[in-house]
Amino acid sequence: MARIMKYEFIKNRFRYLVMIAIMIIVEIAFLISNAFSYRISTGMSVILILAGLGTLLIVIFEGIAMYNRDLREKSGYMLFMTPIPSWQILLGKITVILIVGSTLFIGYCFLGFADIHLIASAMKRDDPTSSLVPAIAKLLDSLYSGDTVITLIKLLICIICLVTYLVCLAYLASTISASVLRGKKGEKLISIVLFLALFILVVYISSKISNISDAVSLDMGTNGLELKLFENFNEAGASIIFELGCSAAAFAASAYLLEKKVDV
Amino acid sequence: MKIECEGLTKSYFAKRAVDQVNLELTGGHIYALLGPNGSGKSTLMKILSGLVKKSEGSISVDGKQLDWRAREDISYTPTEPFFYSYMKVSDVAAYYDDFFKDFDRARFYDLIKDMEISPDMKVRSLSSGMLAKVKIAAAMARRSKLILLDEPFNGIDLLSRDVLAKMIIGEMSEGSSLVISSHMVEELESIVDMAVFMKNGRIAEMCDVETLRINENKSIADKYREIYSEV
Repeated sequence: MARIMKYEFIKNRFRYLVMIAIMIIVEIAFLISNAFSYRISTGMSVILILAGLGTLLIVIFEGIAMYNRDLREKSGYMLFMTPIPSWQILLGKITVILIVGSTLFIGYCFLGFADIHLIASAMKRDDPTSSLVPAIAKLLDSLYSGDTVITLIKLLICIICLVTYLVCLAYLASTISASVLRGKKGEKLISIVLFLALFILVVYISSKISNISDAVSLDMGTNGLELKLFENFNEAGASIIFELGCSAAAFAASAYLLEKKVDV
Repeated sequence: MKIECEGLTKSYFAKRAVDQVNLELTGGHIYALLGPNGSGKSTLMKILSGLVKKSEGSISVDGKQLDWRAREDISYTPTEPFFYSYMKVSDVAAYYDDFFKDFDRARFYDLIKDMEISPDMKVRSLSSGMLAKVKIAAAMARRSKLILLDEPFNGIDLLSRDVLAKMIIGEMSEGSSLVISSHMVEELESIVDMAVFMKNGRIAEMCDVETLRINENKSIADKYREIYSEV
């Protein structure tokens, strides 16, 4: 599996480098703007945090697109003619998405929050009467309202759960469409429709079990930005377990179809 | 290595690309897999390599059902370009070395050196002839028990084909089997010792080339014309 991960990483290394480069550029822009305007630099740090989420979604999307290319293009021979069982190929791919996606997401968010800290301490010193001071203080207070380590662990669990669940469902949709509609027109469209149907079904059932939709929220209230993290995380445990169960079932079904039914 | 196919069938909806094929491939032979376009040669090779899944029938490798483990001993080279576009020739060697225990990197470098191909060349910048040579070198640098070459001479000039044909024979490991499909029937004459003729997904005939020559005074090309010109 390590070999699969190595080549998944190599194939995408330029994309990952671009994402790291963007992070560095935004951070440099923050440092420059911080010397002139706290409003702009605050905006930059929020952009970094939002870009972290965007990067995570891009890594997921690219991981799914690459699996589709492996199934439908001749370069897939390179992967599927190796003496590696299908489940290890899938697990290797998902693990790379998880590691890279989480690392980039945490990297972006870490820089974003570090920058907000930097602005907060600089503003307290230079411009304590600014209207931004209480807003930033409120944002940081909401982040550190509980145990920070536990909050970060919960955040990591949520990312892993979300990524695994999205990728496994997308892999299953692609694998089913590749095994049933091999080379036929509309194969990609069917896999997208199938993914959306599976996604909506799982989300619907999951929401009936318990609600994690408002576990993380960033609200612009009258007192400024307010970050709510996992206020009902424990109650959402059943939904998380259900979604992980669906991911495991989708993974097993994809591995079986790849081994027995899918023509490359 | 002994590969046995019984009632092997591959259907694509209503069409049968491979139809009730019974075939036995044994070690130490070079097989020519012959037939016109659409006769099922490539599909049969892809089934043997595990890339295409059978619809019916069975395939056993030394008595065991074909599965992913068999890919350790089976080397398949498709006719299409299939290396990752980011790769240099040296990356192809590294990839094969990482995944196939039987791959001999030094042997691969010797082969491409003989073909005047540099390890630093980008795969996507190679001509179709050079790419075909790299594919053959990668396949032959493995000590596989079964080597499947699908149209290996496509895009290669006449003189290079002769050199490659000699190289393929020279690089075969003792006891291993080689299956070559090609439209260039005459050029396989001097390489192969068995010929398998496919027609409409079925095995039309399988014969020993030497016996054909002695008993019927026919070449493979003669036999090919006889089978495929039938009304």
